[in-house]
Amino acid sequence: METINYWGILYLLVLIIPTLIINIYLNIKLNGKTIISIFRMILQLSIVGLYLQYIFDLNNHFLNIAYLLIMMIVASFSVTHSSNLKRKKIIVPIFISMVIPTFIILIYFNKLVINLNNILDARYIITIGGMLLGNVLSGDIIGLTRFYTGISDYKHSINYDLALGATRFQALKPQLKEALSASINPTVASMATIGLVSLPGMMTGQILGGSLPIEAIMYQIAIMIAIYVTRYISILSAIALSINSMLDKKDQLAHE
Amino acid sequence: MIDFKNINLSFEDKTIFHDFQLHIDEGEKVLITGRSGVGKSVLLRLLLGFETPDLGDIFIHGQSIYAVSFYETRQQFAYVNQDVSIRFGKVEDVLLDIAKFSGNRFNGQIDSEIAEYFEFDLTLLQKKTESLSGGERQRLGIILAIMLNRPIFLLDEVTSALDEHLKQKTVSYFANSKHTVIAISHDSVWFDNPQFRKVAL
Repeated sequence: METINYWGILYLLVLIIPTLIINIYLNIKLNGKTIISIFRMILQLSIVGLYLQYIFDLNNHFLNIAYLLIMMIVASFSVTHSSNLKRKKIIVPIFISMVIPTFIILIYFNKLVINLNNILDARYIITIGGMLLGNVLSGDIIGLTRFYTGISDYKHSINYDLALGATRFQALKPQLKEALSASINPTVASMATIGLVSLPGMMTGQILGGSLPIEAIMYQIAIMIAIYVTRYISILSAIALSINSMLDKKDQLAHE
Repeated sequence: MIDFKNINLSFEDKTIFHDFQLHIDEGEKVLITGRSGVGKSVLLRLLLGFETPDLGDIFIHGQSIYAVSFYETRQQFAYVNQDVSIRFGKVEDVLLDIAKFSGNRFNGQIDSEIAEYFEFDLTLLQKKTESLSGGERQRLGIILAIMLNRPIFLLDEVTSALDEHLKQKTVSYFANSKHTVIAISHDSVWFDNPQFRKVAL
């Protein structure tokens, strides 16, 4: 595979200049943000590249797991921030809902699907784990926001159901259905149209790296199903584990 | 059998209840009156646990409702709120869902005599709850509350969308019921009924 060096990147950066000029001409005030974003991307990915190389070389099981756990901690903070929920209440349920499904599916995947000798091999668990985690992250944000906004919006009919004799679970079932569907739908939709227009990023990378298309597609199919399952289990458990902290003994959304 | 003791409740600097006391006997018919916003609905919501007093306690048969689960307490009440906030969906299906709520001895079918009394056309069972008219919703809410067969009725403005003769029939039904009834209404039809003890907030 041909490699790209920083000079190659410079060729591309040059192409950005016309867009900056047009922005100025049209008075679109995005140049600062764009330049900073590109600079951040180069910096962040360069750092990632450096330490990933280091981690892959060491290939120490504990380090690999620790790396994933750190990613999950960061992801948990990201979910609580983006879903606008009280961090103290739900950060632990969210963290658990990330760690357990991801690690289980990851080990399952590495052992039974790829049949790796070293199931905690850095090259595999950090990349595949990262993909699972990224999807779990967005799935949890969508699902949790939808669930708790739903409870707030439908307070009257939920309370009515509670008055009519529903248990908490029975009264909230409509909201659970909404949240789960919303969370899982992007993945399902993506699976339906994958490959029709463009190749997914992972396949592109693999093929560029020298894999045969047939090898790449098997990975893609496998990873999509793994993502679907992990995302599903994660949002379900995130809701189940967070509900008792978010609702008070009277089944009302606890206010602060 | 129901005792409100020293209830104090304020919302955003506005005092709704200050050292409020109320005793209601089993089987009694009580009409809560007062101007809009004075807190009539809150009284019912306190019983159901949808509001919490800042101070005070509520007892049913001598036991504080804060000492047991609200799931248990709510089984005592058949509640109809002002908007009849019933779930979305086909009426027939929603009734079956409600029948599945634990602890309900209701099987999802509306008694045809009761439907007839309240002039509720059973073809409405096929309509979606969202598309029921105000009057139809209220009658559905009332009939549902009756079908649940619970000891205490909590009725919040349940006749506001009904015509005069149905209002009469409704008041008459609850006035003659064996159950305890706590009703809120602006309607003079309720006020004029001698079987209801009036409590002004």
